[in-house]
Amino acid sequence: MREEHQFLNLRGERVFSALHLPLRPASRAIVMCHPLGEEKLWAHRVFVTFARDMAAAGFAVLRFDYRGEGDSDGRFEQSDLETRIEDVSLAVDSVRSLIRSVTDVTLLGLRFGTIVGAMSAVRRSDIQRLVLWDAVLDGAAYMQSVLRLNLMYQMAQHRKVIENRETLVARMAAGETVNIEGYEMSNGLFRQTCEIQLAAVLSQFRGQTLLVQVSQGDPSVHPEVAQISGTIQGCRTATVNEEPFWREIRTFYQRAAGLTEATRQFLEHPA
Amino acid sequence: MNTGRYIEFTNRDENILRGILHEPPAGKAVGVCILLLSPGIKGRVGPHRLYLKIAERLTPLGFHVLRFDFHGLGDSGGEVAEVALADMYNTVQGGRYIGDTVSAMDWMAKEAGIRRFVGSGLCGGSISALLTAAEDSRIECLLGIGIPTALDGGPENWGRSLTTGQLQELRGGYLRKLMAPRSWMRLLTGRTNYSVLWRSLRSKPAAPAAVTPASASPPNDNANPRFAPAFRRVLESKRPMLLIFSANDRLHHEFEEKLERRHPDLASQRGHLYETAVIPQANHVLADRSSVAQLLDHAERWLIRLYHPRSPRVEAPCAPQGG
Repeated sequence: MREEHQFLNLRGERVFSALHLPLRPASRAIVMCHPLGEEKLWAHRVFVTFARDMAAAGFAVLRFDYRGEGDSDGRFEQSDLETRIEDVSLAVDSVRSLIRSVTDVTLLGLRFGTIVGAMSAVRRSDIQRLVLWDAVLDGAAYMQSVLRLNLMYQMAQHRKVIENRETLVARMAAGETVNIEGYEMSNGLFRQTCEIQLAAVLSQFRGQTLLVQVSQGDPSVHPEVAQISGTIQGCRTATVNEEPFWREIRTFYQRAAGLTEATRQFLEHPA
Repeated sequence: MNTGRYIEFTNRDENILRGILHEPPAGKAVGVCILLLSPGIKGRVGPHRLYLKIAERLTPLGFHVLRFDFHGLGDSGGEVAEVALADMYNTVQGGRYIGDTVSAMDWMAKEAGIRRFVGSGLCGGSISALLTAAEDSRIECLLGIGIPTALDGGPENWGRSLTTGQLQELRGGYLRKLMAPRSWMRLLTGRTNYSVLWRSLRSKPAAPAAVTPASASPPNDNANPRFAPAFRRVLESKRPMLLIFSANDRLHHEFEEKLERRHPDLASQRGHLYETAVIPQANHVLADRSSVAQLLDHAERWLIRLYHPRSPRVEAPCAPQGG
């Protein structure tokens, strides 16, 4: 396998990317959409090993950093959901232009990356599949969990909450940013994400979707996940046993074997 | 942000290491590269892209800044055998990445003609810089950010090696919670660490003059046995060090208690060959704008003093011995 690391150009701004290429010309490609902020960093090595494993299995895999994150240009506070969708679009176009043999593109997302991937997929007509790892079903609920990180930081620093969620939201609405583990979140990212209901987005997608629920030993499918797969055509679910490697855990998580296998099964044996 | 250019090189084991090289503006290069070594497992961008913020601030001063992923981490090749994060961290504190750092310097010498380095990084990155500096004199000074003096015991062993300073802070916290029903609930339902509670309530402030002989380590000690010898070696070769700590982090207590109190001969060089700075209100990863701004100010002032001694922004004379 080969790896090509380079900056892609988006109207003068640079998007850092890593392209994992199989030995033979690939017809199928996977573009990976990473989660938000520190979750991206904790999950990074799993993304890398997944990309390498899938390249060994014959897929071309493109990883990239959204503008405002990783090695890409831009500041986090200037980025939002729309800029990330633009970045995905650039990544897909790049895969198609760099590897002329590609005819089939899958977007794969983890956590916040599932929103980015799903939104990107419905804006284009050339995405065949979506793979959503630990999908964010409700953008507003997810954003509340993101704000909670700020509250936890306040507790750690001041032993009390000085600014509650409402105050934080009001500050963003007034044009300020809110610190999330060192990243300055703006109102655009917050508001745009709050508006997302994954079921509604997936209902517009014409390709196939795999919703992978990550659990720690509980095989039951979450009712909301079951409802989505039951009502949306071409949507399947799988439950895999993995630790939450997108945050700090005691294990040094380098490879998500369950997610990799479930994804490979889905891509190699489409319905 | 100035995102630099992508580079890759191989380490001694032929693993490809991948990174970003930030270059100074044309005509301003001072011929010194700041090695921003990866912290823990978070790779070359650092938490909340801290390393990009540092690079953005320091390249206009004429420095090259190289940040790369160690083998087995980030985008680099290689594997890490450790399963537990604490075990992984301990191997870093034992010098796991000295070889990769030497390879990075070799690459910079060959490809960019730069043979003078500032070793730097957050946490695991700074201990890697110190340990490499002890073996390789091309690192002519050290800019440590939250340098760990003790080995990582993991959360399950958290209470075993608390310093006197930490116990005092915890004691204050426990006393403040006396009137909080939730705290009593934690105590009565077994969710409190009773050992730590008991030790903190019994603890007394450490007398500044109290010195534990270097040869007599206390029981359950988790001091990194490689730290003091490496620190001594760098000091003896008169290479300056600036060690920046965060106030809301155990590491500055550990440095004072596990290095300075046990090695008064080394501690006597504070203010001469090495300096420390503590950023108020900062946590371990400096996760707010004010902490980052203070970090950058400290680093910039120190580097200007070392490398631009005629600058009007210089506060006190000092010069690195390498070259």
